[in-house]
Amino acid sequence: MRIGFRILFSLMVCGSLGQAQANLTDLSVALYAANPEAPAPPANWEVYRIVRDKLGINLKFTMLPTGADGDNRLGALAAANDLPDLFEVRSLALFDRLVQQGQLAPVNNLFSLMPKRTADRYSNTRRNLLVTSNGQIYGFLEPVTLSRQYGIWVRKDWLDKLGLKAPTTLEEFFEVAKAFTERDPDGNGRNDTYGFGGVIDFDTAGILPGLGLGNHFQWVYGAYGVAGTWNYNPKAFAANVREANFRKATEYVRRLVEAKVIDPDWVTMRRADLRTRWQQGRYGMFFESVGGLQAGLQNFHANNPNAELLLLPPPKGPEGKSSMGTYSSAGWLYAVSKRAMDAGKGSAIARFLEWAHSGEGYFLLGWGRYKTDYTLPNNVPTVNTQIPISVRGSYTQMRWLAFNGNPLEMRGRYPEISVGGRKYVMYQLMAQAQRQGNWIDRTGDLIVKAASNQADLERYVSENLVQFALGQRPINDSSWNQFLSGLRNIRFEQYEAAAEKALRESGYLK
Amino acid sequence: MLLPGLLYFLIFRYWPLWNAQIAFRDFQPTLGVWGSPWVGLQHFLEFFNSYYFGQLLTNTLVISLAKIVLGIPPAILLAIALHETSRRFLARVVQTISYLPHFLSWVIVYGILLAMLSPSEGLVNSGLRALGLEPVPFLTSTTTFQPVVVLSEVWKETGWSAILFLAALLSINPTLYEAAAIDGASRWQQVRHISLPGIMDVLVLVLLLKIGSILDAGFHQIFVLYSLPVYSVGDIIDTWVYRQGIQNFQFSLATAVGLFKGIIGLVLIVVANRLARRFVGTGLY
Amino acid sequence: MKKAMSRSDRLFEWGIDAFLIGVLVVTLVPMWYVAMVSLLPFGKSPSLFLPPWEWSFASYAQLIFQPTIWQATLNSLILTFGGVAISLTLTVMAAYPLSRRELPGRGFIVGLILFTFLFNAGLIPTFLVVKDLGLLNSYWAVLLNGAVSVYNLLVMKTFFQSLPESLEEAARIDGANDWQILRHVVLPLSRPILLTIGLFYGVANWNNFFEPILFLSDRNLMPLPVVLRDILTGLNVAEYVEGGAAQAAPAEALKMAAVVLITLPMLLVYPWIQRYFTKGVLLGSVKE
Repeated sequence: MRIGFRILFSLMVCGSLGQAQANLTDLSVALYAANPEAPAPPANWEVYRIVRDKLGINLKFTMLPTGADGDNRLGALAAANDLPDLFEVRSLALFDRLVQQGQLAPVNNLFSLMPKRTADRYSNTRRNLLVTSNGQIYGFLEPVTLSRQYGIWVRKDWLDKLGLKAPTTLEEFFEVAKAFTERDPDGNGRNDTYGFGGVIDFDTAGILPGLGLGNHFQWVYGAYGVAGTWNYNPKAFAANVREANFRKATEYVRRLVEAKVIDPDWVTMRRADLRTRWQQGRYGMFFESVGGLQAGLQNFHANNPNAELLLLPPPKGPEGKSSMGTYSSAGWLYAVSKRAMDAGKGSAIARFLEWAHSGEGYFLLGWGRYKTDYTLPNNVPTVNTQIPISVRGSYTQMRWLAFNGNPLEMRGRYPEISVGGRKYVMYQLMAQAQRQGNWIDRTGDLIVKAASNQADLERYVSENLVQFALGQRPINDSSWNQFLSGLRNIRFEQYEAAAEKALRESGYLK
Repeated sequence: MLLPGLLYFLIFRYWPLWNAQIAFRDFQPTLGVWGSPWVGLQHFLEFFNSYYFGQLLTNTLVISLAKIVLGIPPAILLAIALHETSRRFLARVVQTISYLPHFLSWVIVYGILLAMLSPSEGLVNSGLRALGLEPVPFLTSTTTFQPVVVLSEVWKETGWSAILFLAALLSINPTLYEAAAIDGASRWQQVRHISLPGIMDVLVLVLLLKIGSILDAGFHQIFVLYSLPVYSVGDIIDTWVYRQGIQNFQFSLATAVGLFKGIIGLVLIVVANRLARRFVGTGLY
Repeated sequence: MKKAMSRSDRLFEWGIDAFLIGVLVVTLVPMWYVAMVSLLPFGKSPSLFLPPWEWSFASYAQLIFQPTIWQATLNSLILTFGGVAISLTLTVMAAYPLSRRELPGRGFIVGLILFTFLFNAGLIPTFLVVKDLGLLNSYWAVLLNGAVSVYNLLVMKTFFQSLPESLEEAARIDGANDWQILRHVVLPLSRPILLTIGLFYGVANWNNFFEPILFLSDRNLMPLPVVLRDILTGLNVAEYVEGGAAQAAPAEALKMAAVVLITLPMLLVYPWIQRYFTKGVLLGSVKE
């Protein structure tokens, strides 16, 4: 007991002495949880100590709640003029508002303080334009390496069983989906399979939210050449929703729904539900990311012993066009509050970010504890899967600050795995998904500011499209024209004009 | 002794109301509540002129009214049944069980509803399919969404609302029933002529309170239940404020709508109370 | 009370009992079904009667072995019990004086309190107050902000009013002051209302997810509903899980297990307090 006290006492003395000598900078960092199923890092996290000793920073890290809750919390903090020093922004609406209200600090002067990080991540001036206002850069806009990791996966075992070939066009896709739904591909004698599984989902990392049915159905619009929100046609710029082909694509989705080849729960299901269901073997084809596939393979093969999956190239439309969808080359955005900059914390922020970018900081933040959470055979960081994600996840909650998408990193995160007697080379699948998806770059969309009635605009378009797709409203000339003319009432034209102006001025549309 | 409670109301209820003046200002966090410029009624007008205003108001009122009209009779019925049954054990069990859903949060009830109503896996639709009928997408169809909202509210709150009526029934002098029985009144007649008049006061009270909050159609409930296909029948004032005001960070607008609702509620409750005093002879205050 | 029953009366009784049993069934079936779905193994379709030999507890195991769940449960208990203590104390201390007729300005104060029932300032104005008080990221923010419910306060005030005044007068003649009267005369008589209002506050705190999310930034402080809500709404799925972290139970089972887990503590406490609900308490609230 007494010894314990003495140790405690000496620790306290040391601690206070150390603090006084090192002239520490307090730095509060708020990020969205990288591993929501794991708790925050413990108080004795090595990173806190190292950052204090080597960088002179007293780091205070908080995790924002997942999803919209996190946005709301940041919004409330902003309203109270109480933003953290360095924080992640996922809502463009919030970002715009913070810039406009003068709560963010320009970060132009910090780039030279972190040369390596800047060279690798922030040297693309075109990308920086997206967060530039009045000539000042507000925030660190990260390049994205994973945004094109999505695809449609097909059950090859089912194709073989029914004597079908992998579909290459929308028509073939429809026929295969129908066969998967009606011809009992799993042979259990029950009518419990669906041709295609996808959900309404806008929230996939790095891809921009669009007006419409979300990312899981972009391949249909891609096949008609109208994926994404804007057409980017410099001569006749408009929202894609006005294109004649947009209606045709929506009609195709409706055909899928009416033929009952899509799971009838698709409108209310979330990503987690979709995952359970493809793992159970309910879908012949489904939309999923390579990462999501990797997480579910074990269950999938346990439930479907002889299954085999194929990554489908995006199906071609009547004019031969095809695309899995749009992507953005800009992803996470980190902002510095004006208060932090005014308090002279700029150089500490740059020090910390530079440290996180490579070497010791990179490995500690990105991969956790060496030899506990990961090892480095042949320089490939390899996760120790013996330790559950709910434990090791705590030590990598800040990993998005570190990850940069280099090939070794990708190999480590998407390794070769053997499951159910099959071998999956995840990083190759990742590359394949990026390559064959005919992805359309829509990074420029980020520059379009939210309209003052943004919520109504988004609702109007998405709601109408869902009603058309579900068959709640007929699709014919009069109903579609009524939908389009309704855009005027909701001041969609102003939004379109503002978007065109912003895109032209930034050079993303020329 | 009263001081802590009063302080509580001053600090956590009246101070925020004081801050609510941002409804009339263009709130700039860096300038604070006081430094932000006045804009008068701009935010109120923005709400009134918004594209969906009419629909929001209609949905809010329809759902609210349906909850009142369809919610109160079952509660009264349950209270009477609990009061009238001669099986005390049954009454106790029903009481215990029927109060329970009141304590479940809407997120949990959403989970229950999904389990019951999902078109592919839900219990109800499995039943329909077994009967050879088409499954119904209860939560995503514009025809069924409002009924689901109202009936799930009835499911959750009937037991709880019955307590007030039951309490009123228990406070009726038992000799009234005895006298009526001696006069040869049937049980039904006793209910009709003694029980129902006996709960009149409580009914008025409950109605008045509900009228005061008629613009609250149940944010938490709708927020977890609604989805794109049913916005046209499910979007209410509060969910709109959440999307447009909170998620788009237009805090002055959100506050303005909150004040608008408060004022309407106040007016309604004062008027309704007047009417109740005049025609029924009882009121809230 | 009931003597020879006429045929119509018997019919009436049957009708009543059938109705009560109907209420029972309608309330219980969904809950039962939730329990069944929570036990669903992978690859099975849910049904109302899943045979016990097919039950899988994988969903519960997956939830229980998450470190976040335990921390969150502990947090929830702190918030729930702390909340009940603070709320009950404040409510009693406000309700008792307000129930005394001799209190000057009583009507005015009650009016002030009632007014806040109708007027809610909203999210941001409240957040600004909490921030100005320096309570952000502290449990005090959550505990104090919702400490007194107007409804509960009024119910308690009405109950105190329904107590016979003679008892207090007797105590006052014996020289007891207000605090002593409250402690030795009023509170011992108020067991039912204290338990009931305590349960109301307890349940409200137990279910509360909104204020913790808003006021607390430290994720290790988050209570159970926040964690379980993420599971229920499908948010709690890592987008890029490395190394094939397997999910042991189907999403439906996981969600329903979350529902069961969060309801369970309530189910354990509630029957003991429920019998006080009607007895006295709400009777009082109606009588005024």
